[in-house]
Amino acid sequence: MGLFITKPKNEFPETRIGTLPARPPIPAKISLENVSVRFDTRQGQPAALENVSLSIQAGEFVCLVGPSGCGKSTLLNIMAGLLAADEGQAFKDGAPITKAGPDRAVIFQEAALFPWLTAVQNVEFALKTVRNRKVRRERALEQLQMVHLSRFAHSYPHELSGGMRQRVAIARALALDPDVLLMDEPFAALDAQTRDLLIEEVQRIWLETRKTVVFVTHNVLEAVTLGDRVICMGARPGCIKQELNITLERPRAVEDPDTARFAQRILANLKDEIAKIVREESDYVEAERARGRDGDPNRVLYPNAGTMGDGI
Amino acid sequence: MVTPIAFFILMLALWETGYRREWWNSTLFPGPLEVWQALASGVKDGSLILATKISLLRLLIAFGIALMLGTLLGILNGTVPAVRRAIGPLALGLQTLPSICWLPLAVVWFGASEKAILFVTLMGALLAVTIAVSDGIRNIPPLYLRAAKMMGASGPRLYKEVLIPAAFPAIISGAKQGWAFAWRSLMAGELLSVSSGALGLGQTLMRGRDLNDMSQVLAVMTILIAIGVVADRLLFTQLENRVRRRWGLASP
Ligand SMILES: Nc1ncnc2c1ncn2[C@@H]1O[C@H](COP(=O)(O)OP(=O)(O)OP(=O)(O)O)[C@@H](O)[C@H]1O
Ligand SMILES: [Mg+2]
Repeated sequence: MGLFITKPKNEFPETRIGTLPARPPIPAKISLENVSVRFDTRQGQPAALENVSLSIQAGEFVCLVGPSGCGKSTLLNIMAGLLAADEGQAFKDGAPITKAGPDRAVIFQEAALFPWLTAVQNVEFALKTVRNRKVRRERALEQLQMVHLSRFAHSYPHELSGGMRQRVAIARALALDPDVLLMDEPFAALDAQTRDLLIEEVQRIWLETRKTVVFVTHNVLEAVTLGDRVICMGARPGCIKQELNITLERPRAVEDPDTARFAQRILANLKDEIAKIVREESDYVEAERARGRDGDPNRVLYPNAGTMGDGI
Repeated sequence: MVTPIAFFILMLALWETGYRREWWNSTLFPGPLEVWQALASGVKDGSLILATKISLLRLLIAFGIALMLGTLLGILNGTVPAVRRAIGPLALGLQTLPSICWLPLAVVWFGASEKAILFVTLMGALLAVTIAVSDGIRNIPPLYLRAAKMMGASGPRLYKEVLIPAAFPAIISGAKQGWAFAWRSLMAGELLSVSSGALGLGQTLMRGRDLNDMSQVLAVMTILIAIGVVADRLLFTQLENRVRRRWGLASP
């Protein structure tokens, strides 16, 4: 049935002290080696990411899922170069990632378009290396056409719907012609229909361009539909719990029964993580209440892990 | 639109009636027709036109410098933490100082001259612009900066194409405030330095007082109000609304 559960493996184990680095001949597109991030440096506070190692091959579509606060965005920001690891190192094509750059395009949760530019000007911003203005405009329009927004090229972001804005952001990211596309819950704020449509659009674009994609999501169904590989993360401290290869044929659809079956398996595996977070939250509220502060354990969002449906 | 105009006409009529019936000492507060005549003759002989031109020129020079310098300082203050720590508190402190208080210093530095008036006007606007621009830059959502960095924008391009456009609404509000401060400072400066420099509107106002010509005083005041309304309503508020509309922000 094609579902493999593999343990997270360290591509570059710590055994190379004194020897030449045992790098594979072609380094992974993106790799993380023992990355830790600590926002809260107080004693006893769990790290946002602890000792995470991961490697992503060129052309791979990798989805990151996990409960809220488990460090998905942190991990993505490390790959983007928008955040530096406290320990460990991230590499792209074998070279350390030190800062953000157009070779690693990011699509943020909120489209992050510039409100003072029209849709086409926003895409042109990503094309500043193209000197000729006419060529630049043409290319930007081509990108907008790819996400079916030609008619709205001259609209300002606030005149577009949330889904359209996200599509402009995709067009802008593709205009950079990046090696790697990093997407942080790009469709989380959208309604279900728009989201399903965009999922199919992303799949189509990926099949056409075969970029390396890292896609963060709360939605397991989304992850299974899109990913070659789904990486499940756990929280406190943030770490990789398990990886699953999704071998379903493409193009896939969100409503396929196979997709749902895969999603069910992943959810079952994640339940423990969710339960842990719910328990910690209740404990915290309970402790606060014992200290005489306001708080009601019944007020936490998910009183038990069973009621969370397909979202996490 | 009709009600305010009707109200305005009613007030004028009441004013004229009161003046004619001598409800008050008519030399101290002349009627609207007399003020109109003073205005008309001042325009006709060119003295009021010239005074307006002189004042506006001073305003434009001082405000222009304040806008450029203030934007520059504001950007520095907003983007370089060391600068902010150094001049931030100083700027806030100086802003509480009414700018006319610079006049004695300015007169000592520059003499009772054109430069002194320009300096006072400049100081009126400079800090308002600086603080507005620096606040505008510091309030830019970090998301825009991360998006810009992700697309490889840095150095001058980051300033020109991201920081300044993103802070533009704040820069316009700063300019509007700066203009109002500059205008007040200029009038204060001109009123207090009648003898120095060319005759601007403020000096003409004081001349009217010296000659006990209250209709001239009121005529100049009318011009001051007109300039204020035109600049604020027609220039800055329009510009502000246009930017807000483009950005999709609610009009205040
Ligand atoms: N700038 C920051 N300062 C302090 N703590 C932070 C910061 N960013 C993230 N954290 C903490 O790091 C942990 C991981 O955050 P992160 O945003 O990566 O989670 P996430 O998995 O993306 O969650 P979500 O699904 O809700 O977006 C959280 O506990 C969060 O509180
Ligand atoms: Mg996140």
